[in-house]
Amino acid sequence: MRLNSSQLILIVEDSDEDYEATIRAFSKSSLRNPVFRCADGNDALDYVFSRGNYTDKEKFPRPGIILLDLNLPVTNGREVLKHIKKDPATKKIPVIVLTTSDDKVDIMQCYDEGANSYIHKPVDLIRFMEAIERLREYWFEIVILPKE
Amino acid sequence: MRIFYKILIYFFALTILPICLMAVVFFSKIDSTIMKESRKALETVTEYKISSIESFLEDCRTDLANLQNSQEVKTKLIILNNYRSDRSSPVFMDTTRSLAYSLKSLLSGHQHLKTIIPYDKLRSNDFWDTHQYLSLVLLDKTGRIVFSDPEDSNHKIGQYSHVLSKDVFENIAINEIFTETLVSSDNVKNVVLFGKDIRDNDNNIIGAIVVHIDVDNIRHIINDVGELGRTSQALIIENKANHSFNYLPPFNRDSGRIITSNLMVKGKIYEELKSAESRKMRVIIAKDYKGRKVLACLGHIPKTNWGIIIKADLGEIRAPINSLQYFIFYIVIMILIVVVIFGYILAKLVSKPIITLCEGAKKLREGDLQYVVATDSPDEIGQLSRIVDETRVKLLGLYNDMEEEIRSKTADLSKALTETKVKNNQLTAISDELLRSNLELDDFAYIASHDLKEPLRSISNFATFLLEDNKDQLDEDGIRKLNVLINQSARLSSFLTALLEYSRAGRDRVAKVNVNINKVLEIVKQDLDYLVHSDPSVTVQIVSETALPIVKTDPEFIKEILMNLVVNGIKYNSGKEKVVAIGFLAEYATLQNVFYVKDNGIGIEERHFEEIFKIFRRIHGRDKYGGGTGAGLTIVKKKIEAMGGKIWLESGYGVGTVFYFTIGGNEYETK
Repeated sequence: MRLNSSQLILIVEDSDEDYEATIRAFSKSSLRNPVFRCADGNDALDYVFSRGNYTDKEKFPRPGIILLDLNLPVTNGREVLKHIKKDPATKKIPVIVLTTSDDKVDIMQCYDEGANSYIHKPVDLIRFMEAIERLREYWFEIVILPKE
Repeated sequence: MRIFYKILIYFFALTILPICLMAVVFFSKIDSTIMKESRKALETVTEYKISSIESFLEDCRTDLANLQNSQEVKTKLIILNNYRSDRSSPVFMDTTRSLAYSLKSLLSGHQHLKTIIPYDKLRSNDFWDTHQYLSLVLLDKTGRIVFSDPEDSNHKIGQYSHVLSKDVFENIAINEIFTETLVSSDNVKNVVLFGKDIRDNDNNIIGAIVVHIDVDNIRHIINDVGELGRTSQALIIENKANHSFNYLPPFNRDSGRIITSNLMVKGKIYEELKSAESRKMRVIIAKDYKGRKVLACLGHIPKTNWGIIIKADLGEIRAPINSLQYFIFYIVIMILIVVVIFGYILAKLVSKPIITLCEGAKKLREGDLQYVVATDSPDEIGQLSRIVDETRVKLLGLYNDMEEEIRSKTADLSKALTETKVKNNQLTAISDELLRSNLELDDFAYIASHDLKEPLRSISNFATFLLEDNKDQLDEDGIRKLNVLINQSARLSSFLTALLEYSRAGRDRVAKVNVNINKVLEIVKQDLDYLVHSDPSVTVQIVSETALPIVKTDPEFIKEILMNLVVNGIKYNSGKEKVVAIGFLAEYATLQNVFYVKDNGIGIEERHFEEIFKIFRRIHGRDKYGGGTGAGLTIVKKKIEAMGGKIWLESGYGVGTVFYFTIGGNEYETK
């Protein structure tokens, strides 16, 4: 039973390698949801708020969930998170921070800004795969996501 | 008290007191002399007066004795006594007549009794010197008057016969001379009477003869006491039968006036007069009837019941002393003024150098070394002042020397201080620089390790992907090499993680909250559960040896530190019964509040005591004792130092190791 199988997953990740690893993990855990990737913070904000290249709502639907890296060029992950959670139209979208940083300060700030989860990206690939599998289970099978 | 007043008082005491004492002695001497002289004079006068009255009375006595002893009078009186019941009989009348004749002849033959004066001449001064008697009566044995002379005078005693008859014989028997208050129809008179009884040859009383004495005679005798002074006065006192005294009428005033007994003669005078009867004379100081203080001489007139008082006011007696008193008083005042002036000058003279010296000494005490104390007086005070001044000069010299030295020392000091400041500033700058560079280093290490991790992970990931996706195309050696690549990536990653943690230990802010170390240890134990039970053939015990305190510190740091040290204690132990003991000592050696983590592990050689704290430095093979990066103790040390503490160890090789550490702060509370 796939509760949220049609929801778009927006991945905000600057590293192609990490993106690839994530996608690989998704496919391995048989997550079939549509995925869209933004490589930097500004791009991500444009998508979320349907600006710039993403005005077409048919083509670029509202994401059901956002996986957000913190270390991004130009506008970093925390800024992106802040803008999303400040706007009433977007603040209901669950944002899962997925990052290599386990800095206490980062964790605190993200939850302050309204992050729904904070996941430390495991260095070990096997454990990363496990983490993604768990994430899938939780967010796409157990949790009921808000509707538009 | 100030020296000036002291000298003044001493001087006064030494001069005024003797003068006053002398004055007092002088006065009392003069007073006693004057009194003595006055007493003597009073006594002399009194004695003289007494003898004068006595001789006057003796004259009267002689007169009356002649009449008393006259045979003719006796014979005729007997006849009159016999015929007294029939006074109008010719025999009584004849006898009376012939008696009057006989008496007249007797009287005319005597120089005194012949001078009975007629009443109308009584107030005439001519008679005062020559007449003694104012009237004369003969009484029969019943007291009735059988004869009186002068017959026609209203002054004659006969008028008062009823009074006389009562107790005349009694009076005569007691005293020849006495006073009587005679009362007639128009007159009350105090009179002085002199009487004698007349006896027959068988010595039976047949009558009496009584004369009324002219008191002017006595008055003349006692009046003149002027030589004793203006206030002097002589008085006659009569001792009455009822033990009281009567003043006789003051003879020099109104001879007829009565002065009653209770006016004056009582108390002391009474007693003195009584004693004057037995002794001869007494001189006393008393108050007279006017209430004045008098010096009085009391004397008794022999053979009578009369006393004489001669008195003079004490005020008058002492008058010369009083005038002298004023004189002496003025003299003393003059002396006093002179003494005050001289005393003042003396006190000034003596105290001035002392005061000057004292002022100088005070100035010295206050630190005024410029004040010249010396005086030019040649005495001891002058000497003292000069000694003090010499001391001052020496002190001044010393002071100047010292000041000079202090000045130079201060200059040196300030120079040194300036140099120190400059050095300090340099040091501070260097220290700041060091701190900054350390921080930069930490930042660098953090960023580098973080950023290095990303590609490293990708390398590892893609090696894994390669192994998974292209397994068929790889031979065994290729697979082995890829695995090495993955393992080494993991190793590098763990190095980077350690480096990250190390840099963080210098970057993170140290919190300060109450941390119960017992609880921290519980968490550590839970976290290390996997390690404790990893090898069933080995037992691991993590115990607390002492009570652990509640400390104000950073909970994360203290947990990491304990965790690291406990893990080391377990890892570096090849025994089968591993024990890691945690404890807390309120005092250890010279330090306070020391934690320790003790194991029974392999121990550390002393030469490695410093080595073990260096990063990535392992003293064993790479994979021995569970492997590891070799950064654990380095991070522990850095965290401890970040909290203000220090770490050291004691170890016996093959016996075990004890890591001691303090964590700074001073708020410890042991449960």
